[in-house]
Amino acid sequence: MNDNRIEQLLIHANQQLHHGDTYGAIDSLKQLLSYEPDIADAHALLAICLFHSKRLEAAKYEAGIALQLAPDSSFSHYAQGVILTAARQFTVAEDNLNQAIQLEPTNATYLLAKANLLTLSGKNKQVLPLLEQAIATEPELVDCYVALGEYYLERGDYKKAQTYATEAMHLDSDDQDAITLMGSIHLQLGNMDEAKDHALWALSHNAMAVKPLFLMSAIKAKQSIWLGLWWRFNSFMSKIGEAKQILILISLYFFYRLGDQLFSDLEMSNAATICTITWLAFCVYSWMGPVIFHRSLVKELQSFSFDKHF
Amino acid sequence: MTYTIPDEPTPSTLAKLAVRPMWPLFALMFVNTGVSWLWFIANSFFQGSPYLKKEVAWIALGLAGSCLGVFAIATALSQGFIDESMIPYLLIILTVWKLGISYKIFVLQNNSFELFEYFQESVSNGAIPFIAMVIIFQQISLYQLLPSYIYLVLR
Repeated sequence: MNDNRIEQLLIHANQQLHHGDTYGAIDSLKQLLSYEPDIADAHALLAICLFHSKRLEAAKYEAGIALQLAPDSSFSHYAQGVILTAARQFTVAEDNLNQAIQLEPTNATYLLAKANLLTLSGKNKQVLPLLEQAIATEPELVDCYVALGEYYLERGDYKKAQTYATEAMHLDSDDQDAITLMGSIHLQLGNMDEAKDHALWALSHNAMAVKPLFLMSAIKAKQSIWLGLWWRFNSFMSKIGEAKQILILISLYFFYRLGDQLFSDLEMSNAATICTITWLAFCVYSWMGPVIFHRSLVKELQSFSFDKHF
Repeated sequence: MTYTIPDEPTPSTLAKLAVRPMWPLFALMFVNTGVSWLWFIANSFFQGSPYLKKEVAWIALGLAGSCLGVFAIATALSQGFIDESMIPYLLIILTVWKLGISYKIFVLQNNSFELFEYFQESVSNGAIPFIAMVIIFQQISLYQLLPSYIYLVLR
């Protein structure tokens, strides 16, 4: 395979990833690596695609190969940094991102990745200067404005967040992240219709995109108490990680069985029945929650229409 | 030759027998632990899951823990450290242990199953073997067939 063809396939995979077609990008890269298994950039890009598909272990493996093949490649260090950030290995991730920035100081994407890492590791004071440095480095990059907008949104400064979201949409009116950011600001300001319209607008570009779907779900969760409760429970469970998740569910089951046995031994049959019914209700609710949520989302997307004044 | 990513399943010729991992988990709740864990292993093999060895290791740990638990209860009872009224409470701990191990295996298998589903065009319905197992094991009294020690480990 000649260099030109390799470059074309890499660009194609990158575009697929950018448009949210992660599976398509993975397939393209697998095709490329079947012929040319030693291209570091392909492994690094594959690692990022796998990370977007939540296949963290495989992503780590691919990023490792990329670094082995090209230890001086800024992109390989960036990929490794992003993946290790997701794996919560902040120290090594920071080292990798620092190396990527050192190798290519004019790449704002690397600065944004480091800003994300610093946010997650709680070093909040260093985030803003880094985001401002990213904008100064690449003033035409929409992601910089979106990142700054998200920074102010998280801190409750909706006015500044809106300024950056507007700027981002001014640069690229079709950028999904910018549209979603604007929708999220409207959601926080209580403008539900505007928030919904933005979520649908973003989804009209790619119905599989995670951020707008998340926004849409947050809107639905705010509109219904029961779905909202499930959404918060689900979000909480996703945040705490697998081990704690198992521990909480198993503890709930343990206390249910313990209560049931105890009440039966004390001949308090009514209390034992209440215990069983509560447990069953929890099971049904947590079982049905995602189904109802999914259906209401699909219904919303099928009846897709913008507000008259949008 | 296609490039293979390490977490991708390599389905065997029996891939059509693979079911959603929730069915072996249901088997734990409605049939018994022995059947559930065997089904988990078989399902992992059918899928060609890259986590097969990990899953077997978790099941081995589960079995070892259960054996130890039953042994500890039996010893404590024979030595007079506990009386018979305590047994149902201690058995809850044993059930919780088995459930925890099974849920961990379920999470592992679910990850590989999502990929398996992407590569495979159709997936078998696990409801039929599940119902068959429920009916069969309702007819068989394992308590009478197996020694009580093994029964407590596998129930």
